[in-house]
Amino acid sequence: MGLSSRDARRAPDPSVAGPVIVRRAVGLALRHGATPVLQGIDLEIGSGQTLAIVGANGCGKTTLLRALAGLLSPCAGALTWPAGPPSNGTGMLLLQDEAVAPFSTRELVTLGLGRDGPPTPTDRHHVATILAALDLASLADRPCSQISGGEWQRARLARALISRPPLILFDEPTNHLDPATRAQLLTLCTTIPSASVSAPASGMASAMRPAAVVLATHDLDLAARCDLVLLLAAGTTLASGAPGDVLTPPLLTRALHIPVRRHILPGDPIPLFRAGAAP
Amino acid sequence: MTKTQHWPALAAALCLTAILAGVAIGATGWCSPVELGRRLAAGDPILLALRAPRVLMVAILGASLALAGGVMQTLLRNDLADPYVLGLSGGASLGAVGSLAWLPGWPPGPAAALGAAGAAAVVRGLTRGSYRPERVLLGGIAVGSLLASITGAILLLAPGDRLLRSAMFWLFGGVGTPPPARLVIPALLLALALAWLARRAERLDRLLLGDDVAATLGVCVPDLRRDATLVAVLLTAAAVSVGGMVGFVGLIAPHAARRLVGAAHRRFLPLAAALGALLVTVADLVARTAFAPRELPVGLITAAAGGPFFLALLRRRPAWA
Repeated sequence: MGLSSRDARRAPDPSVAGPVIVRRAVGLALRHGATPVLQGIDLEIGSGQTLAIVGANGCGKTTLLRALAGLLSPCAGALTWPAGPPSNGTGMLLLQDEAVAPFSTRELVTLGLGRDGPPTPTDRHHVATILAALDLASLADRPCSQISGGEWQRARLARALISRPPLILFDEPTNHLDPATRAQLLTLCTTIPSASVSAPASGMASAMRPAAVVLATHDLDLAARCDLVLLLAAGTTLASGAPGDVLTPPLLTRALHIPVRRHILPGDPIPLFRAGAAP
Repeated sequence: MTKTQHWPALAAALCLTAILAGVAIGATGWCSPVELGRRLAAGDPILLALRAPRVLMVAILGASLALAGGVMQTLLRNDLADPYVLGLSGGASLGAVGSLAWLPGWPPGPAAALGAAGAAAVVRGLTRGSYRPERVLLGGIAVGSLLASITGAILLLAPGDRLLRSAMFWLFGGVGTPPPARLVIPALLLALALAWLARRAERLDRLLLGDDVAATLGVCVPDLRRDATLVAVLLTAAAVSVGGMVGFVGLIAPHAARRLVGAAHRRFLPLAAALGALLVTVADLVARTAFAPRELPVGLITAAAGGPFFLALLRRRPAWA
C-alpha cells in the first residue's frame, strides 16, 4: 500500500520540535436545540497521533467529529486550532452516512482538492499519485457506485488526504466490512499519519507534518491500535488516555451497557475484546 | 473517455441543425438549405420576422428549462426534481390565468413569471431554518397545489369557455410568435446563467458529496444554495414568460446528459442545455406542422416524444460506467 510502518512515523520529525497540538477542546459543550449532546469534553490531539472516540450509539461521537471539523459552534468551552486553523477547503471529514457519490473514483478524489475550475496537469498528477498510494489506480475510472465497501472507504480517505489537512476525522471506518477488508482498514487507519506525509500537497506547501487522526468507532480492536482513546458515555467523558488504561472491562462495561471482556493473547501486544456475558 | 467527449459537439451540431430546420420548415411548406441561405440573405420577412424569433425562443426556452432542472436536481438531491418544483408551476399558472382573466389584452407571460418567482419566494420563506431537501420539496408541493386549486376555481367560475381554451393552450406550453424584443431578457439570462454556472461547476459537484463534506471542502453551502436556487428560478420564470408551461424537458434533459457524460456539472450542464434546446426545437417543429394550419401546444409534443426517448435512454448503459 506504499505506507510506511506504524513505528516509522514515531521517528522524530526533523522539521518540528516535539509533537504539535493540532486541535484542543477545553470544557466543550454542545446542544441540539435545547437538548445537551456533549458536556465538559477535554481533548487534545497532536500531529501524527491517532485518537479513537469510543461509546455507545447516540453518545455524541459524530457530533464531536462535526464540532472538531468546525461545522458546529460550541455553546460552552473552547475549541481551538493551537497550530493555526487549516487553510480553507481541506476536506478532513469522512462521515458514516455519506451517500455514494455519482462520480468516478478519480473525480471523487479530484474534488478533495477543493478547487474551482477544471483540474490542472499538476492536479491530475497529484490525484494519480494518491490513487496509486491507496491501491486505487485500477479503479480510477470506475463509478463509486460500483466499488466495494472497503474501496469506498479508501477512495474517501484519498479524497481527504489529497489536500493534506492537519486533521482527519473518520466516522466508523471499519463498519460493514468483511474480515479481510476490515483488517486492511485497521492497518490503514493507524498509518494515516504517515500516509498524509507522503500525500501530494495542494496549493501552498504546508509544513511536512503528519496529520492528526480522530476515528469515531465501535470497533474496540481498532481503538486498541490507536495512540489515545476517549471513552464517551451520554455526552460526557468517562475516561481518556492510552488504550491500555481506558479500554478496561469495567470502564467499557459502563460505557457500552454490556459486559466486555478483554483477552491478552501471548505474543500479541493488542488485546482482543468480547462483548456479552461469559458463557 | 474519448466517447463521452464527442457528445457536446454532436449535441451542439444537432441543435444548430434543428434551429435551421425550424426556420426552413413552416406551415406553408419547406425550403432547401440553398434556398434557405438565399432567402435569409435577401431578408425574407416570413423567415426573419416570424419563424426565426419563434425558433430561437423555443431553443432558449428548452436550454433554460434544462439548466434549471439540472441545478434543481443537484440542490434538492432528487432525481425527480424539475424546474417547476418549489411551487413554480402553481405560481406560474395562477399568474397566467389571472392575467388572461382580468387583463385579456395583455400577454400572460410577465404575470406568469411573477407568479413563479413569488411562489418560490413563499416556499423558501416557509422552509427556512436548517435545510433539508425533502422539506423544501414538500413545501413546494403544498404551495403549488394550493395555487393550482385557486387557478382551477378561476378557470371554472369564469363565464364562457374562451378563458378555458386560451388557458389550456398556455398551460400545455403553447407558444406564440414573440416580437424579437421579448427574447432579449431570456437570452441574456441564459447567457449569464451559463457563465455563472461555469464558475461554480466544481462547487456544485462538491455539494453532491453532502452539505457537511462540502463545507469542509471550502463550499459556503447556504450561499451556494441560495444563489443557485435564484438562478434556477429566474431561468424558469423567464422561460415561462415567453413559452408557457413546457413540461418534461427540464426533467429529462439533465438526466439524459448525465447518462451520456457523467454527473460532473462542468460536462453535463452545457450538454443538458443543448439537449433541452434540441428537444423543444424539434417538438415545436412538429407542433407547428403536424396539424397545419392548426397548432398544438409544444408541451404536448415534448411530453409525448420525450417519454419514449427517455425510456430508450434508461435501457442503455451509462457511457461512463
